[in-house]
Amino acid sequence: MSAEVLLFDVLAALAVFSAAAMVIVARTAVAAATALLACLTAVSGILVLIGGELVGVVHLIVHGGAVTVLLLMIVLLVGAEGGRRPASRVRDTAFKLLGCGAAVGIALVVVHTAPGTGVPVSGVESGATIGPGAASAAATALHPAAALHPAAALHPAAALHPAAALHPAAALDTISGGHRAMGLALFRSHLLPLQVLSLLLLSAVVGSVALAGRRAD
Amino acid sequence: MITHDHVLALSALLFCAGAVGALLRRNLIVVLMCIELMFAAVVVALVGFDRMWAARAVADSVPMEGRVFAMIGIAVVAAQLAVGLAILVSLVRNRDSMDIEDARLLRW
Repeated sequence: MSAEVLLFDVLAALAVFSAAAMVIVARTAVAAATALLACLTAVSGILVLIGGELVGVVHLIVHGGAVTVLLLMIVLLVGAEGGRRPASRVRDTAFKLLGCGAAVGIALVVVHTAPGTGVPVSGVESGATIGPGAASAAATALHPAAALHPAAALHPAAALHPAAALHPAAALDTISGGHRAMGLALFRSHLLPLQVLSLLLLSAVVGSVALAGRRAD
Repeated sequence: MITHDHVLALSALLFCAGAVGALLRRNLIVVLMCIELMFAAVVVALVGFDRMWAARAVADSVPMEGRVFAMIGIAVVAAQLAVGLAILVSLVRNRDSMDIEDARLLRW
């Protein structure tokens, strides 16, 4: 078991445990928001681990930071208690924690016994696993650690492929962890969705101000 | 080695936890948090699929659509949560309750 798999397991267990704690254990909205923050942080770590570095960082900033703070501010504004659940006793809490642990156990069993393609998502050894050819060249070229790995530089398929060396986005992708290629994809080939998205955000902000700012008559 | 199946199974489990919470919890703001959790599971699945296609692609074309879709989805869900929280604030202001049973304005 490599360190990467160990880290994935720890982060996945943390994510599933805090998600189950949010759903089962948390009685107040503040406790649920704290568990959600733990879960989203673990999810961001998993995103970075499986190769979506920029997506993971943006997810952490926007959802782990901004949205969780927004939820907590709304709890602050409208009051923490909600629902009409009866107060939980100690034995109930023990059963709930047992349920969370069982959820993590089921998660680990399911994740490690899942049948299927066995396509590696990332990892330095992924190039050796798939075998020679264009796919393994792409797998090693896409992984940021491959730039530091001596085998990647010596890989015959990557060295002999002229397009990989000539394509600026692909070449810089190995150095910068894909941020440059991501920026090119966002601002060049997906410019129209991005502009529509900014319009959507603007209208959402205007709409939420109009909704929440209205005086109750 | 982390395979695509690991990522997809984790995503399914997180999504199920969020769906159960969104259906069972009574507090309105916790229901919104569960929707947020379901979306985090979707982002994990999108990035996993993106990496799967990247591992299968030829070297001169780097597929980015999965990650671009995830980024756009992050912004869309942020906008959706802003509107949802505004609705929640005006609902609580009018009904003076956070219980989902009291939000029955549009129920048959």
